[in-house]
Amino acid sequence: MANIDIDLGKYSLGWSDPEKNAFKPEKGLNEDIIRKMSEIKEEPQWMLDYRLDAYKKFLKKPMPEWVAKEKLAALDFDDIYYYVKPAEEQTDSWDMVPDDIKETYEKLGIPQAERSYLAGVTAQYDSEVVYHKNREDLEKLGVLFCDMDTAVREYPELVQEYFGTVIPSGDNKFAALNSAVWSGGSFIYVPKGVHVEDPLQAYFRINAENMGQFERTLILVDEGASVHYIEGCSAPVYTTDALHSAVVEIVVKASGTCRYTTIQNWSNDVYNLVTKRAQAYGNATMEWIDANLGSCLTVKYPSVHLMEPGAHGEVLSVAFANSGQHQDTGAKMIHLAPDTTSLITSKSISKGGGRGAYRGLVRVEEGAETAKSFVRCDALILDDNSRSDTYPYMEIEESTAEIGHEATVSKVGEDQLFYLMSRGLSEEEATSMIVAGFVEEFTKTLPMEYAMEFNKLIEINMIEAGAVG
Amino acid sequence: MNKNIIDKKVRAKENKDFVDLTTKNEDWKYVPLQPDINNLELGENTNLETTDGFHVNTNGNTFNINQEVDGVVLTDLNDIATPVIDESIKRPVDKFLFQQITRATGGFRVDVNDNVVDYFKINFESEKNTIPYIGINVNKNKSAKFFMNFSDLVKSNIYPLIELYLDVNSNLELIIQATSSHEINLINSLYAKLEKDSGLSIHTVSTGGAFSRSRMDIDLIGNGSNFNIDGVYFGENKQVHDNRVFVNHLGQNTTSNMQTKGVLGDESTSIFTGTIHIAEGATKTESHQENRNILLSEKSSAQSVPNMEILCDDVICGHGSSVGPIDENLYHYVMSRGINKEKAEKLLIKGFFNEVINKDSWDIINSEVAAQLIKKYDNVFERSNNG
Repeated sequence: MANIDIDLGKYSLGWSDPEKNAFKPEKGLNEDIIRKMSEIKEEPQWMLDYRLDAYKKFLKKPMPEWVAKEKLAALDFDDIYYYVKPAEEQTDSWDMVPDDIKETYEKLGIPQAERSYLAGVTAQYDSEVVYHKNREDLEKLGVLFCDMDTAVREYPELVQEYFGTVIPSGDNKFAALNSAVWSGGSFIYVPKGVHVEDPLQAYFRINAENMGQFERTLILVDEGASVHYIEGCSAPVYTTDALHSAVVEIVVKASGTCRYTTIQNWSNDVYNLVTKRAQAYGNATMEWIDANLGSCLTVKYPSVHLMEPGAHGEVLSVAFANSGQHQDTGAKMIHLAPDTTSLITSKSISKGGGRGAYRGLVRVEEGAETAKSFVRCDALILDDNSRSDTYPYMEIEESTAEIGHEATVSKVGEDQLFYLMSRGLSEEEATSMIVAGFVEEFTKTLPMEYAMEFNKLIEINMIEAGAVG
Repeated sequence: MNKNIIDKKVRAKENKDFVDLTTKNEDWKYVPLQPDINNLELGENTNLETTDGFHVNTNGNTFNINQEVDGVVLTDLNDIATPVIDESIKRPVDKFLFQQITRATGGFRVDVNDNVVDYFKINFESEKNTIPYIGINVNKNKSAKFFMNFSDLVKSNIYPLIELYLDVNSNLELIIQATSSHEINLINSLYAKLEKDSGLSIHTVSTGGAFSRSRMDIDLIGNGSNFNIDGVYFGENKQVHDNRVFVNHLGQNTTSNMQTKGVLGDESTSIFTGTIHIAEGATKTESHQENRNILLSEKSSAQSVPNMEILCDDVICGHGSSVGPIDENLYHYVMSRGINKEKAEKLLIKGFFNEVINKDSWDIINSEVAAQLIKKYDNVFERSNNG
């Protein structure tokens, strides 16, 4: 059997292509950069005003003090490029995508063949979408799926009506920053009663050293419609810190369904500070499925505002904190109407000195009668250097609401290890298998090729930092 | 308190060095600041030289501090030479605690030199706003039982500062009962430091006062030490019951158990924040935490925040909490046996509390507490029927 020489010391999906950028402003942020950016994008005046207003809010807002204070203090806003425009113009044919970018996706495991399987590929490379194609039948159904910049130009009324309504620009410091300098991201509109059968998909990468990426996504699911959107991230390894600060807004109208799946695997020098929020109206269902494997610091609490009776929110979150990583993830469920229900399931794994945290909020407002919510947090700690935190806030103002919370923290059971090892597996393989089982609830929600990729990522994570102690 | 002790505790800081506490401060997040906690108004002549406005009785008789009882030595606050505890390991001094330390209006230190079999009862009495200090030091291999009672005799705002030190293999059982029917604010800070193989059990009853807040910081330093707390609370009118327990597992083989249950009626609110912190190297820790709330009335509310911070892999740790009305299935079960809804509710609430107060360690106060809780329930029930 031939020996396959794999260098596991390197980040498996971490490579970087030579940069080819037509426009590259200086590091740091000021009003001029925002004006210039808006001009290049040929944006309407309202968007420029929105950006400038958000920039003022960003300057005013203090840094959050309650999470990862030291890591956040190391973040230098002046050492980041806020807008980088790729040399290649947007294209609607795969053949026109430049070779080096294609290679990037080859390594990421999005071969051309997948195009026919997936409903549409929007691959974000640097700050703008470089490849974008909708399957024709989606267009026939009236589904709009394009990058956000295009949407601002082509569907101004729809965008202006909803943009910034779920997450106002002054929501928090990073949402304000994104509102000021956003670039790229996806826009989806699913018309009334339309069911999009296959998942829509977009891959994001950061590909310029010290380049922040501030994509902005807006998903509108009209009455009785349904959609599943998958967002996967993978970034090249760089030595200095990069900032990824996205804003994702979703509106699910009555009886609509939306599932938003994220697999976040930024390289371990990226700050991932993301604001994600959805509004679910009468009998609508909103599901956030969120896996965080990469980044040095992730701060992300996908939330659902349950606006009208019968709305249902769900968050299934998996976090893997390896050496040097702090995954501060969780969920927020705000019950604003009667008979709303929510479910939060959080699974976290800490290893090699990593820190995994669940931080969540369930809030039931007065009048949200018979609202029900259940929160379950399970954590695995794989060695003595690692840390696992649970901060579940529950604020209940309604007496007929039923709220429950359960959490456990444990290590991999010795009896489980013994069982598997007695069948010939090494300790590493056995531990990997147990961890994969621990997160199975998540993997089984994924399309098959994603599930396989995810399990592979878990395996790489388990082996990369050496033996499990 | 002796100036040297104060300096050590507040680390040479002055009042102006502390920022004002607001609801933005995580520790005081749910406190509506009814009392102006940033500038406590105390009774006249309240300084370290006097115990005016604060009386301590034991077993119903006015107790003469410095008097010796079997196995117990009491020292007046002003004569304490060494502190019971220098400082808590995790909790920083904030503006409120600073005031408690520097402005304590009276109190004493208790040294337990021999086993105290019967409960040593401390009835607090106050006419003017006061900060009593109670330090309990349980010596090696000794055990003691204390009962701190904040009954109707407490007629003013009271901000007790309680410190507990448990030496190797010692044991302390402590009941803290707050039932004062006066519209007062009761805010206490409690610290405990547990050495090897020592055990601390705290039982709390909180039904009184307008605003009642208890913060406990427990440092399990010694290997094999263990901490238990169980408690009940019942809110009516606009009462606020704010319970905070921070358990800091530092030694190995330590255990902790928290179980608090409460019912909220009228427009009352409860807050529970429990944090289990397991330090690096604190292997074989076992810790459980449970907080259950029943909301009886439309305008009642509950905030429950059971936190965990785990820095060690070889642990068993879990928590659970819930907020909601009484389970419909339970009603169905009871009512299908011919009991009407009102009686069923009362019965189920009794049962809800019995899980805590029927334990052996509650024997001494069980019937009194049960009656208290039912009385509270009747008050709420009556109001909801009349209103």
